[in-house]
Amino acid sequence: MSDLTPASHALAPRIGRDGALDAALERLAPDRLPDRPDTPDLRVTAVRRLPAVTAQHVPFPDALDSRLRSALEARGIMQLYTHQGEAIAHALAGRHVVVTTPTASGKTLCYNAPVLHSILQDSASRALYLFPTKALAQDQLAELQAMCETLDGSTGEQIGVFTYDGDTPQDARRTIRARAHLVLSNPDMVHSGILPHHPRWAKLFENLRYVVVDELHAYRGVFGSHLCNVLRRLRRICRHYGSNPVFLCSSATIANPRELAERLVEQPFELVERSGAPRGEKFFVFVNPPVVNHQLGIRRSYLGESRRVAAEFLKRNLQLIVFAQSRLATEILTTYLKDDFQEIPGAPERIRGYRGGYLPLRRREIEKGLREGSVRAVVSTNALELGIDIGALDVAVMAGYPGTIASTWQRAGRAGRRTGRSAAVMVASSAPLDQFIVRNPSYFFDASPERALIDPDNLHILVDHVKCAAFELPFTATEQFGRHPSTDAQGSVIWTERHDVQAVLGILAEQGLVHFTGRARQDGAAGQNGHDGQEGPEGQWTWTSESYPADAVSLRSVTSDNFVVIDTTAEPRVIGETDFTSGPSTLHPKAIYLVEGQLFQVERLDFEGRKAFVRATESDYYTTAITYARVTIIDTFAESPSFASHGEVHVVSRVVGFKKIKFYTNENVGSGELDLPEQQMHTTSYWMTIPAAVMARLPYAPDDRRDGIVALSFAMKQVAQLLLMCDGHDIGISLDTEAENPRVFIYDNYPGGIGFSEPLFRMHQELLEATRRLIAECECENGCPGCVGPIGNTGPLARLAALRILDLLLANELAA
Amino acid sequence: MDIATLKDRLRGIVKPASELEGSAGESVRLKPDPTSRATPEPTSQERSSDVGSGFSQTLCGSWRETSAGRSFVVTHRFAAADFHGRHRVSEFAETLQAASPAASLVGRSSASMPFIFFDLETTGLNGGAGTHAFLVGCGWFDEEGGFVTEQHLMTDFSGERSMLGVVAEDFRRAGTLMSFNGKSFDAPMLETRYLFHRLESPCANRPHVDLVHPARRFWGNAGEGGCSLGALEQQLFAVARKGDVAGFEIPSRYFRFVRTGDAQPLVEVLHHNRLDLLSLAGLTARIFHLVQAGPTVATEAREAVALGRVYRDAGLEERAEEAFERALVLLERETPGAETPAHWFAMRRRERAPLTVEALRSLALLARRQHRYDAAAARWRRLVEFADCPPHISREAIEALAIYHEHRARDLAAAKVFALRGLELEGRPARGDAARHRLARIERKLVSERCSLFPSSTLPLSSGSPTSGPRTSS
Repeated sequence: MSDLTPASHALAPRIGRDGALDAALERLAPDRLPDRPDTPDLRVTAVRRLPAVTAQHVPFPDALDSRLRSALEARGIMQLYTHQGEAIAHALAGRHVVVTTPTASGKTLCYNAPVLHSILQDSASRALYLFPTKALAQDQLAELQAMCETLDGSTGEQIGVFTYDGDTPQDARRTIRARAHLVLSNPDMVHSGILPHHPRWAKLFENLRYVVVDELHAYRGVFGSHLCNVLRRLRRICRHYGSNPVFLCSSATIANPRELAERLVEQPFELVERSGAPRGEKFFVFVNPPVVNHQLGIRRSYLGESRRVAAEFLKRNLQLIVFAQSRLATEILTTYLKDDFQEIPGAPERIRGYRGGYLPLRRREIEKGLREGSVRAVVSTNALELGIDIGALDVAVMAGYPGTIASTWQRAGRAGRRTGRSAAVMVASSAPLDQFIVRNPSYFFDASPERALIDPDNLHILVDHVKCAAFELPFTATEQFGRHPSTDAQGSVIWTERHDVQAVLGILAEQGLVHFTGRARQDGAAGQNGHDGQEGPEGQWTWTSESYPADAVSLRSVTSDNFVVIDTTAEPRVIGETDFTSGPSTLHPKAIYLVEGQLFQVERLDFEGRKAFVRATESDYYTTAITYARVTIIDTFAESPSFASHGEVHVVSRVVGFKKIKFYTNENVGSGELDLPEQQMHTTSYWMTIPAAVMARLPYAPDDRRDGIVALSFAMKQVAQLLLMCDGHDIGISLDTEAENPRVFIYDNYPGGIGFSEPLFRMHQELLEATRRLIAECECENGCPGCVGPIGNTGPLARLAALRILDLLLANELAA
Repeated sequence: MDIATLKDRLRGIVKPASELEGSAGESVRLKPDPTSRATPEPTSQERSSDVGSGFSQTLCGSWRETSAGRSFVVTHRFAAADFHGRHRVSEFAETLQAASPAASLVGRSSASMPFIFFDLETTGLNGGAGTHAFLVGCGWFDEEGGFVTEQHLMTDFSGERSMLGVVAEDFRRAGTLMSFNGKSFDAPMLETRYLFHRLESPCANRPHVDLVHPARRFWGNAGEGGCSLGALEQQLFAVARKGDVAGFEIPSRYFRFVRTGDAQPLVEVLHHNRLDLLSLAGLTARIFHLVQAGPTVATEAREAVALGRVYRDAGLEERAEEAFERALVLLERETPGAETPAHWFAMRRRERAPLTVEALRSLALLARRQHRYDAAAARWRRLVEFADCPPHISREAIEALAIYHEHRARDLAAAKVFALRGLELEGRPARGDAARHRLARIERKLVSERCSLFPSSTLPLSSGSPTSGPRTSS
């Protein structure tokens, strides 16, 4: 602190804050300077220092409209960061671009500048913005409107910026269609409200210059696979109206932003990933609550630990955000912190909770309080993870590992000013994933973040969107739908249609949904009563059903078949729905069903009628279903010498029982048996075959060997989840222990598969090594929920047997 | 995946979905409808022989080619002497002819002859780019008092654009378009089709009178079927359709035609559409006649009130007043005699109360607008005294009376009484504030009035606090 000079008044508060931060960190990890070796066995397992970075500027590109430049200058933006300059140059040149730079690096200007430029150059130009949530669109609306007001002053022309989503009043919609230069919407609305009504949006589609896709990383798995198809439809409609928009995407840091953008849009992309924005020094701390019961491997509550950590910062008057993993945890932590820091009666509340389900007005008020500093701490679900503007805070505390590396960086990014110090603290829960990360800090800090995976050609999803597309515009007899990248013999990427859309249409015709008229394709594949002569216009498939197909397709699930949840506490009312696949495991009789932190118990499941009747209840436990799945291999796509394969499988699953798990401690407090119908599906799967020779070398009884495989599969599933950047219910697990060469299947838990199996096959080696680390490094004696599953699931030798199998497999692998 | 496996897999995906949706709709509608079950699916040979000329014979139509396009048109004429229910077609024609000036009143914009009635049959009710208007029916009266219909049928999806060109020519001949619910459904539906083909919609910028709203005003709760065209034609003209095709069957009949080329299922659809057009024409004639002839021909209070609204909205205040007065007279007349059963009276009272309230309120507002404040006050007073007056109207009346007595009659005592009553009735705090504000002002005026009558030293304190003004019984 010797360089503190009295002259720098502006620095004084900053240095005060830095000092407070240092003091709090010192309390947390005494005498431990940053950047020293990790200590997996201590409470603080890692402290990393991310050095400050200075800004890299470039001047505005010459091509940029001078009125836009003056408007930016009027708002204090005198030059651009390098990544902004790069992105804007690509956009102005008509190249699709994806920008991936950290939170608060001025990402929005990367797309707002070219969009506004195009409108200033030609007032007929239009742009469509897609945000994954309505709240994000609202947040951007204010910023864009302010920008446009500045511009309106200098141009005399009004630039219309409107949100168009489910909340837009009917009577405002016509005006918006006529007046909006910029339409801020979301994929669901484009899917069900804009594309099916494209004639009314003709002006937009004729003049669509740019499509902005913000938070691109949110579109992975099922949602991403749907979005890809929505964009196929969008581009198809644009072609009809003679436009060919440029896509401007922004993404949080993921391993494959360019690949994801290219798969979603099916066009080549430019990647801008080197941020020119300045960043202050940041400390990243991993905290593992101490073990309180060694035998059962139970640790102190991570919520209590998070509360203590947050208090250290809060009492030093640092502003912080606490991320909780569920709505319930959010409410609990808010209560804890309010208890610790009694509010002054009548004064504005300094500690607030924030989650989806709060009314918009209340949320705006909290966001404003954060920006202005009157709110000192906010406890939030992932609702504040995405780009909502809450200003820059001092500290981010994560109560529980957010599940993915990308999302952890995103949340950590909520703390951090352009100058001055900030900190991010991750407090691990006892879940296996959390334990793996907190004990292997380098996995998090040094490895690349996850890959976002999609499979837009999942037949279920594809068929749904072909229906929607046929409704919007007849398919011609030669038309294709979507492209799939593959590598040819020379190693270069070629794009071809994966499934013949003409075949899909043929099947839809069998069901009377579409009808072919006119001249058939040369190969005669299409057409029933078409003329076979060569004259006449090219044949086409027209929608011939009175239904409105988009209504039956939800972008959040694979099939439209679902269970509805009916609350019968008072007047019966529908309170939720669950897709068919996960229905039995979440809505079985006696299951605890959570909505906005409120608990319901399922009283009856009407399987045929697809209804679950629930009643509000109070309980200190939740339930997890015990599902038995039997997997049969239909087709093996690839096999490696190291015992891994992937291919197509048939899965028969049945929920046979459930366990009651206590909140917070994750103790198993009871169980029940169930008798529910089987579910069947085709999907894709990764599997590992354990050679009989390996089994034979295990120095254990057959039962213990079997336990070893069960234990191994439990841990493998956790790690697979980590590698695939997916949720627990996205993948399923099944064992075949009866065979001579036992198998462990990890399958895509969606009909048709969603693209996890092939990448997992390629990550086989990594999967085995990480699984071994997870098991070997655990402090428990004979297995715990943090490694191979709670004791009681398997025998006392399971953990050792699992390790032994892994060692043998990995040794074999090295030999091979 | 080879093509055979793909197709099997696709069948598995497409089929169960539509079966499950079945209860909700799709596959139910896709089932062949029972009326046409007798006709077997034609074989491909039959079909190919049928495709060329089959439907023109079945439907008795022909191709019309103009510079704007090509359309398959079925022309039909209801002769002047034909009956529609208990009325002759010629009656409709004559009535409409005589009452045509009423069109501008009903449509609230200039509406000129000739009138063309139109009605669409569509492939669905949801709208959107994939919903087609496969039949555009137009109708008009000819010189001889007959009713001519021309129905444009889209025989093939690829012919839509061409058909729309010809339809536009028909529409452009219209001085005014007439429809039933056309402003909400048919016109937007057509507009979408024209937009789809990047053509200008002939509905845009053309006078269009939608009879659904006037009809609801006149016969709001027409029988069991609500205020649908079907219910109205039964009630007004005693039309009984035989073997009429139900609305929900229509799309599937069209899809059947498209798939098989067999136009038989469409014969009844076209007939249905023609009858709709004729009923629409009759309904229009009836409404225009009432509006043209004036309140004296109204035989029911409901009709008189509806007329009052039509006149008021068209700015004809005198006629509106006449109509509302007429309504009050008719309502008086319906007061039961000694032999009327009590329950009948109770039922009538429920129906009559809103009409009485509307007539009185409209008369009060009309009088106030014409600065006839005393007349307005008399209506408001009757409303206040009317036992079945809903609270929000009572509040409005009391507030109006308070204002009237304060500013017009300058009877501060009476004004205060109404202000106090208003305060008692006021539920919402914001409105309550306004009422309190008024009361305070009146009280101030009362005090200063007394002060000017008696110098302050002589103010008789014994008469009580300034708030206890003279009370009328309330």
